[in-house]
Amino acid sequence: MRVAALLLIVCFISTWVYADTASITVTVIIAQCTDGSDNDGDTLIDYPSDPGCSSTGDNDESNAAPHCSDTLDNDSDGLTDYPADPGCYKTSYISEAMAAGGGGGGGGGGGGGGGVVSSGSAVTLTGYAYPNSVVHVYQDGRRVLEVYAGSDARFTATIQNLSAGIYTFGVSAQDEDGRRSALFNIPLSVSVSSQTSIGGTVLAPTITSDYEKIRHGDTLTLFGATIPNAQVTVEVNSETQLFVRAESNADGAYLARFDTSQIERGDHVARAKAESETLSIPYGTAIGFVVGDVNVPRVEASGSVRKGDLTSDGKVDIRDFSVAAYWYRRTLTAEFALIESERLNGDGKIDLKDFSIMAYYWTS
Amino acid sequence: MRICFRPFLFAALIAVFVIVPDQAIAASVEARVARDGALWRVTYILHAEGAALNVLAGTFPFSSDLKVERIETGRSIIQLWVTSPKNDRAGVTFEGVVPGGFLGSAIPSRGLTGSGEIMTAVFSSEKDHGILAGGSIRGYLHDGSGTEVSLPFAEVTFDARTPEENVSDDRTPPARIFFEILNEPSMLVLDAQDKETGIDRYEVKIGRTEWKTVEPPVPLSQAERDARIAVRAFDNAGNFREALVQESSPNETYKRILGIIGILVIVLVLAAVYMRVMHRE
Repeated sequence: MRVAALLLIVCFISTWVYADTASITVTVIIAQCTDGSDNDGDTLIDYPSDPGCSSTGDNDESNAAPHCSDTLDNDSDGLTDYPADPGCYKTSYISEAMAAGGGGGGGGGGGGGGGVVSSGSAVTLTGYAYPNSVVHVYQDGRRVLEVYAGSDARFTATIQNLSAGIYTFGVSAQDEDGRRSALFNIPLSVSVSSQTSIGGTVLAPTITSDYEKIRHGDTLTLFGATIPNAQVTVEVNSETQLFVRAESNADGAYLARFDTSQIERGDHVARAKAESETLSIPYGTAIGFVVGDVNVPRVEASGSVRKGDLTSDGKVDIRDFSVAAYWYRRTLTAEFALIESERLNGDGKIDLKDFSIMAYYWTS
Repeated sequence: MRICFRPFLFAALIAVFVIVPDQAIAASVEARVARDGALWRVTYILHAEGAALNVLAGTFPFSSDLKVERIETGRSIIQLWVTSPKNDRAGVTFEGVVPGGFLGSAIPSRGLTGSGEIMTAVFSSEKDHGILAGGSIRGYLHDGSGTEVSLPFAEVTFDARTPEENVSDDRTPPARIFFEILNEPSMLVLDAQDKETGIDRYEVKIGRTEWKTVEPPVPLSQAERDARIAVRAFDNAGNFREALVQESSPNETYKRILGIIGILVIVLVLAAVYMRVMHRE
């Protein structure tokens, strides 16, 4: 009797423990074509962006035939395949337009209230970046699309499946050496079932220099990328403003040299603009350099410190914003204070000025 | 409708943005009022006037007989909120960021305009009128240094004669929720957007706890990092979208199994001791 009572107690305790610690697991299987992930590694995510997806319920993103060689006008822009369609970088390219909807990652899941309204509106951005460059398109601060500019630097990007509302579209490009342009933002009101085209999205020249510190009197070389065969003007800010002229070649590369004895010792910045017969391209992001007594070559390693990049992943995005928001109005640890001094304004605290700096260097 | 912005137009705009000196900022904010039945919808609009701005912050004051019913941010030019708009004693307070800066809006029927909506506050009133006091908010130039400028706005009064505006119901839940767990500092990053009434709040359910309203980013303890995490984003009309961030991690499952085994062992040992004692008796 006692043994039976004891076993009963053990069973009861075991059941109670199990009930308390285990939970009912409901596994929600999200189809590959709606899971927010790039399952087939082609840089395109979900339906309708990934041509491997026939619907949001399709559980296989892969096995898509390249749109850029299938003799079809897949993006209905009147142009078919490489090289006619500017969305095609080569024949093996998977999509002619590579439109993407929704946000950057994360899972959708269920939801309350009403159904999702898809009005099918589309926005097409056309403009000029750098020859054969990768052009990143952002929708409300998140990268949704990637297209390649042609050899004439011209690009076309179509963002489809938009519902009505106000969006901020952004465009930036990476030249062949990996230098990124400043983000070009275009807030736009999209109406129901509309097709909107925005032309003239012209990205400013990229710029860098061979030295970040240079001996006074030595020659400094400034170089970067812009549209092909353009007249480039590099402005060097000093007490006496200096303008250095150059011409970009067929690949859009330009190179401008000047004798640093023309400017005083100290900190300087340089920026470039360009002009062709048909285009006038504004000044872009400036680059700083120091004229002094020593020569220090500029190192542009991929892992170099970037302003605003608090997570050290080479980007300035929502993750960095969240890190800054976490430290907002908090006392910084010594470790984070070091990061703040390197990558923000170095005043030992996180405030709105730091958010402004991050917004300036925003990448995706 | 096709808009073709000539390159020189953008060039001129950007040139203005770059060279405009601090004291020459002409940007301002306007409060536009429309009646919506018994409510008043006040839309705060930024007129950039050639100044590229990437952070806006401040307070929009209002008279004490007004009550904020809700604040809509779905059409806002602000993409990230450091402090979501909220009603405090001084008025509607907010701090928001425009990554890449605000250059102006491109509107199909109107072309390029240097104006954009910051938010819409919906008020009710005990009386049939209201006053929105004048003042200024802070703006930060998109210059890489975060130069602060002041953006003034004028006092606005409104009453029953204010024109009515028809507003359609928002029945669409927020768009997909972006989430990610970061390691250092340990936290959950959350971001969602709603193009109609805007995001009202986020809720998080960690492990077996109840749904809890949070302000992203959400700091996570080590135990919470291993737990099942689900999130919800609500818009201002009450629609919500839910997403599962993660199931409980294997570590957590192993810990639970080990815990169960440990407790069972203890119980069995106690039982054995008890039986031995009883047997001796």
